Amino acid sequence: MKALILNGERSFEYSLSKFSKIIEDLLKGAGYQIKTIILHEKNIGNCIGCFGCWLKKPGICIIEDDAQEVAREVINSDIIIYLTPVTFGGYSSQLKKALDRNISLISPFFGTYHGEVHHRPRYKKYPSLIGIGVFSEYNKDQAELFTNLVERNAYNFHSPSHASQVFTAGESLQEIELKINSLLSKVGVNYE
Amino acid sequence: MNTIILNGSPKGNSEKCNSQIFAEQFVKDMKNPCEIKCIAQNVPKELAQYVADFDAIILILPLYIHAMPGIVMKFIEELEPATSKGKSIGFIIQAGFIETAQHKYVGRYLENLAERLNYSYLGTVSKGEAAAIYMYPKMFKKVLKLLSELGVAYEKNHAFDDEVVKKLTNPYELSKFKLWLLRLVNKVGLGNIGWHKVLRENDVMDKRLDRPFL
Ligand SMILES: Cc1cc2nc3c(=O)[nH]c(=O)nc-3n(C[C@H](O)[C@H](O)[C@H](O)COP(=O)(O)O)c2cc1C
Repeated sequence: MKALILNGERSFEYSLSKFSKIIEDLLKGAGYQIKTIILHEKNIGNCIGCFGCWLKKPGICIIEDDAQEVAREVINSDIIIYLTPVTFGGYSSQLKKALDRNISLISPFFGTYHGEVHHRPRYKKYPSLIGIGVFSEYNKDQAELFTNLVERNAYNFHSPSHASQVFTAGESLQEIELKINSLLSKVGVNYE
Repeated sequence: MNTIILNGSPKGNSEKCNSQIFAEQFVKDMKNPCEIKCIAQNVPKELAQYVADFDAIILILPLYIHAMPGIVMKFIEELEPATSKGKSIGFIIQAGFIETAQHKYVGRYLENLAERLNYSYLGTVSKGEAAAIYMYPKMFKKVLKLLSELGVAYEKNHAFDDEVVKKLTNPYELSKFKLWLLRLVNKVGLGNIGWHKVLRENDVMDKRLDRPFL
């Protein structure tokens, strides 16, 4: 089993390595192979909205940079973790920029899911999604928005299961560990 | 009252950009058309400083995976809260899927953003089924006209006109019947004719379902 952490921390503010370390240790304990990508260390350009990944080179973004590696890792994982500072209730632009480039993983063709129009899957299997948002200062509305966004993105990317949790930068390691443990069990991780 | 219109699409002022078409329609019939700037063609920090001098901002953007495109988030991260009261901000979102209920999340996000920035919130106007407007503008004459009406009313009242907004937002959700119809259309492949046409032109029809990363 494989897990991938997409760390969307921003180079100019608090690091999220404390969180990724805890996730890595817990998942290793459950027998997972883990990869962590710190997105700001990678060369990832913005999606230019050309739909080339659907219509020119189906399944591959036409921009040749590290986002291709990210997409490849995502689709070959059983669990992906979006780890990000919460900005106004959303992801950091670092993370969002990388996710925009992931539409290569779904199909251009339409289907109806959850009573809505969505794109059909391209692959047979998609990873479960965990969203972890970290606040410098907690805000209830934004926490709710964050949870919502993770859920919506789980629909977009056909995740078989999803869960999310927000943290405040100052929480103790013990608290963080407990909450992350419960998140992991929500997407089916067990330690047997 | 001076207003700046921002186009948040990564396509910028290309002729293939629906947000740019929306922006141009919005100002078309104004007595004093507002200035339009593209986020994609500006340095985020400089643009954020530039817009701070305006009384109002209207940001027009495509929906990208249920949220704003990465470049818009980058720009938003550069905005500073207004130091005086009386500034306002409004949003126009256009997207591919038909039902505008899918914009619900981003609408709430934008409202929260306005509050944090100490701007008064003019609202978020949503338009679904907009992806093909640049390809077939003639088929979307009605939508384009509504956008100009929205602009004229905005110039007069500094607000989005409720009636026009309602027409643009429709349908909010898909009825059971419409869903059934869509399923049928998708099943017989009609919903994908547009994609098939381009795939054939690009000579990759046989690759359309490829799974290159396995
Ligand atoms: C990366 C990406 C993600 C998108 N995600 C959504 C989505 O979640 N929902 C939707 O309705 N349309 C989505 N779209 C479609 C665009 O919103 C639509 O094509 C829009 O008209 C593009 O506007 P523009 O020409 O101004 O860039 C997405 C397009 C791209 C390129």
